[in-house]
Amino acid sequence: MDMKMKDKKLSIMGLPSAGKTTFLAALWYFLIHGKNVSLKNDKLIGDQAYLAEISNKWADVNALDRTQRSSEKLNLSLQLKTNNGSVVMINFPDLSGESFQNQWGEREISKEHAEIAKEATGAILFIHPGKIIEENLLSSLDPSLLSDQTGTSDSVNDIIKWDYRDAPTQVQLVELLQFSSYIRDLRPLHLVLVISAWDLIQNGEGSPIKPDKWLKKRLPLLWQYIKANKELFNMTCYGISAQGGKLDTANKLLDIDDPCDRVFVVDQEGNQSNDITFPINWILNNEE
Amino acid sequence: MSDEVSINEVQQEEADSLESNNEKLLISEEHTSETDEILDDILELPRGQALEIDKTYEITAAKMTKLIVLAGSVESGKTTLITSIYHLFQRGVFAGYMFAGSKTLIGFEQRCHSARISSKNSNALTKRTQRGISDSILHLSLRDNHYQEEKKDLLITDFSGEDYDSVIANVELAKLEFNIIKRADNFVLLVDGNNISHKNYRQSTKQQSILLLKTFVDGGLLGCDSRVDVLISKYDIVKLRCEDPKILRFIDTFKKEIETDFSKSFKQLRIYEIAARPSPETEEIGLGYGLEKLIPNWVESNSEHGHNEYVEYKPNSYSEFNMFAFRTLGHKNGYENEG
Repeated sequence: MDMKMKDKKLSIMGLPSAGKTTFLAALWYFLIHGKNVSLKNDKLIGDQAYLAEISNKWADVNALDRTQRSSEKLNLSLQLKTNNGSVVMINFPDLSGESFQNQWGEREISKEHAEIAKEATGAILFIHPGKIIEENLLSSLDPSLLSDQTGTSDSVNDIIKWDYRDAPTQVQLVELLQFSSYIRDLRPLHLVLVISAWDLIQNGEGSPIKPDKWLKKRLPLLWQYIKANKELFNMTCYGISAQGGKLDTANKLLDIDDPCDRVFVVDQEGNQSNDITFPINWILNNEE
Repeated sequence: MSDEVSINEVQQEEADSLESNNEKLLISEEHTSETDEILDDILELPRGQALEIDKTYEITAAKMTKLIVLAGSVESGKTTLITSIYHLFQRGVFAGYMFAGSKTLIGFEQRCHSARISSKNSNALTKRTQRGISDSILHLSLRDNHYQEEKKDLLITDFSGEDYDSVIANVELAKLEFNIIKRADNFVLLVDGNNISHKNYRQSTKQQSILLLKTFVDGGLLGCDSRVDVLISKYDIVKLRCEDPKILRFIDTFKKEIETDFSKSFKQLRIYEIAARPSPETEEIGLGYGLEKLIPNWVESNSEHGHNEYVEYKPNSYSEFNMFAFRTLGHKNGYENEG
């Protein structure tokens, strides 16, 4: 009996260097080689050479090139099998972070990208904890440090002009989600927030923190926006280390026999595993 | 022979010139065609700037919206108040409300810039709002922390202090320039705490504040349905000076005079001190001192204006303020744009 194959479209979002491509590289490796995972590759379809290429680099703990706007992949497709045996086709892009940052700054989006956002039933938004621009007020500085500020004119007209790239990360991310809702005519979206490079947080000082709590603490505006708009966003949060550690610990990472064992995933209850397919599986489960 | 050669040379030059022009035309057309293709492939997103008055109709027509008019003289702290509320939401839930979105994030960000480290400024300064500017309304959507109510939209004006100063004691001009105050759900008058606690400026500051209120009352723009907050801003500076008992006595007298003159004129009158962005020297006064009282009142007040309906803004003078607003409205209402 043929199983009817479901076709799902996902949107993958994030500012520059948020970890989107590293996740995709690790994901593809898991789908092909992973054991005890919730999703597996059913069969190769079409041209997956790009995914194979980035996956090879990931497996060898090599740095992945940042996705440029000229090298974006708009429609990557995977045919997957779930644990209950059903087959699902997922389609998603690998877009550059600059495309998303430009939405914030230039206030425009290509129609192709808009189509992806509009058609998607689920989205994964990546956030890199080491690349957050905070809202740092002058009033929070020790007055003695203000003499270190360049351009010490008291005239407002002499200060450095506003640049959209300096806006706090959480403001930019709120706007991206507002744009997504705008393009989708306010249709609800299953949203996974992935805090990438979770090893930076896990190995930091202090007691372990759950991803949702981290989000509330470090990006409170974004957290509020999603919670206040629960009709628009059905959200969950994962902390994921797709690499297992920094690139300068490559030797240590390469000592691990199975690359899948480098990865760890923490859900919003604090449960840890190494199944990097969880974010996609969550979206698929919520759509049923 | 030489003439024929000469004519042929001229004709050749003309032919060459024509060919060159045709090439340029083709290149120009190709470029235009490429540009058109690029434009066809691009979707414009909302600008995110502060709103012009006519652009707020989209919000007011669709949802329960509260219009908050901030008034006060130059440097009384209107823009700093708005940006400080925005700063506080960037830190977390504030006054029992969650940030639920904004159509003017760029407007907020531009106004906040000079108070941030990235500006390379040595003092946290707020850029003075230009006079007569039409894109002066900022939007905040809020939701109570316990999901007991739907989201509420606030439209907060950021008009220039010079515009307000220009109408003090001029009722006719006030009616022309600030018709929008009739529509306000909350009217907030900021009194510069730095000036009212300074011997050289306190008398004129007190008079200007009282006169501005009186002008709007006598002009019919504020009345028995109005909810009015009088905020003494920069309370951190007042506190630093209050070793002199005369200062606190003067401020108390000022507050009593406001209450005596106006408490019966309005549905609600509240007077209190705020320090939207206090200096680090006053450790006991944190960012947004006093602001937590504002938000619940703004969000929860029942409007008397039936503002679910479209409210048409009709500029009825050719003053500079109205001309800026009118340029965005175009030729509505039969007015000619005298620009």
